[in-house]
Amino acid sequence: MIKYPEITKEGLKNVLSPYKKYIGKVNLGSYKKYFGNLNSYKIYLSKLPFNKLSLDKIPFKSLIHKEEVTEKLKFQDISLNKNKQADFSTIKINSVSKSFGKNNVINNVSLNIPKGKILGLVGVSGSGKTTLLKMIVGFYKPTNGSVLLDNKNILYSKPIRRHFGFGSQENCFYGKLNVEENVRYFAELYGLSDEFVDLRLDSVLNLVGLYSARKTLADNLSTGMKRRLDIACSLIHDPNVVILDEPTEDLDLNLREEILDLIRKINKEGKTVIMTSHLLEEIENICDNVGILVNGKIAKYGSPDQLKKEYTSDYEIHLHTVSGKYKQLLKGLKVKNMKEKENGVIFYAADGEKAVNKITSRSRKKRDKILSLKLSKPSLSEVFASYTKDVKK
Amino acid sequence: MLKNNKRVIKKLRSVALISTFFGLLKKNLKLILRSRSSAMIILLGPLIIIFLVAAAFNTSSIFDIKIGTYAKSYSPLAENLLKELGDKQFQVIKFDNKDNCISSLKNNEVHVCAIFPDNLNIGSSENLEFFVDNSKINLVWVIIDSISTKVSSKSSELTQQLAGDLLNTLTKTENNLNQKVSTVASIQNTNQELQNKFNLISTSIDGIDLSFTVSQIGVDKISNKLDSVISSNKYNKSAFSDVDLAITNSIKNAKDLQKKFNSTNEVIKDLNLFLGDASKLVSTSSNGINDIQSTINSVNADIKTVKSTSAETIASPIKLSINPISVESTHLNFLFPTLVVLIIMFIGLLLSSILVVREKLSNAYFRNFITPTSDVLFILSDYLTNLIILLFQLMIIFSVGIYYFKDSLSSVLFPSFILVFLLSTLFIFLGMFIGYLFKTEETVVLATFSIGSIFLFFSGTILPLETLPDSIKKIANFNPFVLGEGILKKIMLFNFGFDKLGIALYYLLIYILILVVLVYFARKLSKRAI
Repeated sequence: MIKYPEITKEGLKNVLSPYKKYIGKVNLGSYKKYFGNLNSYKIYLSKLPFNKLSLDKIPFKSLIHKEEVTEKLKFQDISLNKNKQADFSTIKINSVSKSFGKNNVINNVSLNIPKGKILGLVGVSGSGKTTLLKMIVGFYKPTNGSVLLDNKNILYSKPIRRHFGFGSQENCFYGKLNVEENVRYFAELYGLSDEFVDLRLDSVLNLVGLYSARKTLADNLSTGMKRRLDIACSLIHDPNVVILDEPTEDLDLNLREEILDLIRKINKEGKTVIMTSHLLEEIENICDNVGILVNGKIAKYGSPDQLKKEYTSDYEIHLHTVSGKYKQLLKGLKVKNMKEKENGVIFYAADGEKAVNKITSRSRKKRDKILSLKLSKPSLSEVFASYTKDVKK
Repeated sequence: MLKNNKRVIKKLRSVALISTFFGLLKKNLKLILRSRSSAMIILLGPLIIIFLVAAAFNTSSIFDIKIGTYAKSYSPLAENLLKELGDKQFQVIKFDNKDNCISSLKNNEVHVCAIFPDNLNIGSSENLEFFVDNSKINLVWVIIDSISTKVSSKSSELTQQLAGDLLNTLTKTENNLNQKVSTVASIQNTNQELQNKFNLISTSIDGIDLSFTVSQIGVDKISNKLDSVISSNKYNKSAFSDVDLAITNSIKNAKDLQKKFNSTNEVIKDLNLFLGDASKLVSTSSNGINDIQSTINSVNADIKTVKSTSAETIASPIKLSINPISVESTHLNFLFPTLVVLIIMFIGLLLSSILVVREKLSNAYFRNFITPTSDVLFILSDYLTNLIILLFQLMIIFSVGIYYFKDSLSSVLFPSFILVFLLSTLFIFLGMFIGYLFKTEETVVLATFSIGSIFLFFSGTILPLETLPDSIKKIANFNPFVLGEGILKKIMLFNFGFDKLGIALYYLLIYILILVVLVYFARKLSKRAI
């Protein structure tokens, strides 16, 4: 983590005053000095609570956007403004649709993605997850609707794109560049100064665990390291929203855990994370909210618990006995949706504990040995399966 | 303050763009140079090309041309001709018959087949036949030209020899005639004198009077007198018989004399006639001699009117002098502009198209698109990367060029550089357009070579543009390779300034503008393929 200095209005003025002399006489050297410091300050300011200092009034929140740079130069008018607060973490997706020719991939999707949360998008292959992510990041232009960040349409404001970071399963970096060169290159594409990158690089590489491999050629990295480098490239410009398209795809269990830990760390830095995955367990474990995408539509949206609750409030019971005479054991009990499996039966009951007790006592009486008896709430996989099944119907 | 701020913002933004731009450039160069094979090609490629081309074309001659020959019997003239052909450039192979010779030509064992007539000699009515393979379009004219030069050189030598003999004879004749002119004049004078003498004789003869009668002697009177004396004196006549006999004899002799005079007169008359005839003959002879004299004078005058008195002039009455408009003398000089444009075209097209398609196929391409960096900046950085590499290669080629051509190249370095820059820009943008248009590296390489080959085939480098149909020639004149090569030749060989380069330069600029726009939209479209 970067250690930011404490800020005061006077302190800010003091930091910037030496650069007054560059106004009217700007060259590459002075630019680097000026912007290097301003970038550092941008990070610094973005970490401050909004009730202390308004980012709108403080002129250093973005380097590229004209209005923001204009604001930057008004540093002598810095004042506190509690009423107006910029929100670069909340994304509003308004009735977005996307068609490729006659193929409608996304159909009228609307979402509000709250800041600082992890949103998981799940869906079967071809459901439109990646297309939706690419629209959020401004790569695809929606056929209808809009994606807003801080109430600005990301399509028409290129500078706003610097608030997004995008990591994918495809390792979007150059194999012939080493780790540091890759990260620095993408930093330059975001218009960041060397000073800022120097300040940020170590922390990002430490965060993704690639600090010691910074001089290693990307082609020579292991699969897990490549995935982490991809995430590092998406983090170097310190985005407010990090989008990860199937970040754990093709990784073994340990590497998957590593990446999930990394996502948690990123989220802890206050960044909004939007991710997709086929592995519903990890989505359930890591995401605050989940959107189930079916045929280009959000079939269901909410926290995993909410989704499961909406699916059913019953307990799921898994029973496996030696005799296999389940109907006798469950006779008279209020159970639903009993399904026979190879290794027993699964059924649902509103009062799970009561049902388990009765099954135990009956088996004792009937001298039927219980091989396994599990009581649990239904998993997200089941919820997902049921919703996708419903929508398909 | 606000105005000042805007100005500063503008500057800051442009500096920010420059910084990003250099980042892109650095990345592109690293990616190219980190591949060892690419780096080797970039650094050594142009050196190898220029070395090979310089070694191959630094001459104006052709080598190793094989001439197949056949003759029933080789005359000394034929042998002499073959000896001339066999020097340095040509290798002469003798065949047993004509068919074998032509067959070898078809099999590419010889480049030309020469069939000599039996006992080729000066004045032979039969032709010396040459068979050539027209399918070797670019070689056949060189061979024909080269052999024709050799044969006509020998032919000219023989003509010169014959003309020399002719001139010598003519000179001798002239001298002889000059000598005979005085003889004829002397004969004429003699004739004249003869005629005069004839006239004199004739006059003299005419003056001879041989008119004579017996009565002129008066013997009759003497006889009569004597008779009268005798009768008067009554002399005895017999006493005067002697006198009478003498008188009778005198009369008889007088009559004989008269007869002789008469016959002499006849002879004189005949002589006069003869003299008249002889005079006429002398006169006729004089006329003949006059004719001979005027003929000799006329022949002399005619001989004097022969303007050319040297065999060389008669053999080659028109002196052919082909003067090059540029001073260089080897193929390399003339090829250098073509070589430069060729390298710009192929390396520019290939390098830029591959750079673009590799970038397109790279996973990082997507990440580039989601950054706030504009497409224009990416295009410019790709362009500049290619331009740097291409200019680096051209710098090597020009350094070698300056070493070879010295001042002739260094004096036109600046205008050449401007044109090289324009051509590089054109072909780089064309290559980038191809790179954005096609989806795989293989198709890009194929398309690049196809387009490059089309430009090359319709450029006059392989076949003269003048051999193409008019409609295609008109299109080929807009070929950027043709335009570039034409301008560069004007600059390098004839020292033309930019003001004299004409509309071709504007065409290049228009091409560049069109390609820049096409590349921009092609990049936009390439997003769909991600």
